[in-house]
Amino acid sequence: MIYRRDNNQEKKKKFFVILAIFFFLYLFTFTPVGSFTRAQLQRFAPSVWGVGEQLALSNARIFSVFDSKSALIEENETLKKEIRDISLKLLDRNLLYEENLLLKERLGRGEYGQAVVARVISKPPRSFYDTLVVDAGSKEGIQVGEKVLYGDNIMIGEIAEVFEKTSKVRLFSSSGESIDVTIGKRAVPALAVGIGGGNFEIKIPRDTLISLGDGILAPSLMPHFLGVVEYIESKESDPFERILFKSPISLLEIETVEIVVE
Amino acid sequence: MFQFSNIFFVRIFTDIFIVVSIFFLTPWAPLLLVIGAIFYFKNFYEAIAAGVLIDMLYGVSLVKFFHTQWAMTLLFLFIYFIFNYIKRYTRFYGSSS
Repeated sequence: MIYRRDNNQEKKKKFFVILAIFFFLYLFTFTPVGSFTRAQLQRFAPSVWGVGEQLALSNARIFSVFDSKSALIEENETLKKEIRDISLKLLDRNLLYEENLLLKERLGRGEYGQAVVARVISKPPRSFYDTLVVDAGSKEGIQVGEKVLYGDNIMIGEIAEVFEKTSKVRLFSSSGESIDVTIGKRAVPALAVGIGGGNFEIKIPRDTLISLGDGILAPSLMPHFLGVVEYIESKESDPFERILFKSPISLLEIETVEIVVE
Repeated sequence: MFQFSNIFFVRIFTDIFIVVSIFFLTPWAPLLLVIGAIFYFKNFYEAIAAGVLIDMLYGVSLVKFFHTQWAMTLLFLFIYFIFNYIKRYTRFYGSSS
């Protein structure tokens, strides 16, 4: 005997499942349930990332036994040389920075936001979102929109969401994000658009005097460094030229950041 | 009486592995795992939960995702329906859907 399959029952079940999915999506998006769950998750997530970090560290220690001695000596020498060069540059830079602060103070513009140092607990490429999660939140006085710097002066992003103990950082280099900048000594104003992976693109009229190596700054009373012009693409048929540059620090290497608390 | 089958334990193990991959691996890992799991298990609703978890952990409003903070949830929802639909027409998995 042939029985017809009861499709009605199956269809009803599917309908209710889809209804339930959309109900939960609504609940998480438009009601406080979503923000409450996110806050709880952000409370517990840093300890999970911490365990992962510890595991990675112990792994690295175990495998370092197999590194060759000569390679280590060579690496050590290179690093020592790099440290010497950087210390010299830093000395010069610190002197200029202090002089800059002093001048601003004399002109009555010395007040500047306090910086909170935060450890990066999650960074790209952990998700398709180009975001950092840092271990400072509302407890440390962090607020949405505050600027995030690397090493005192390199601007990398801004605070997008704040929880009790953590915050999410939106990187300016995320695809489509934009930031006002000035280029070179002539401070040519432009709009830098992120293209992902720490890279930026700027489009400016072709006749603008820009050359390779020009510094790109985020304009403010205390201009922050974003990068240097690395590539200029200019076509006869295009009235605009395309400038490409990247953040001087690799996003994968960031361990700590500074958040400028306004 | 309800009995735990092997497939139940495999499913729990897969769920745990997906959660671990969300926390520690590149974004492609949970995506591929979820696609595989949709084919292997019947009604793998955890796929949508994985999207929600990613959004809650990392999601911010970005231009590239049209300012939605639920981009991954929507992506995983789309993947769930598309791959369940494809599954029906495949020789190996069609009967189990």
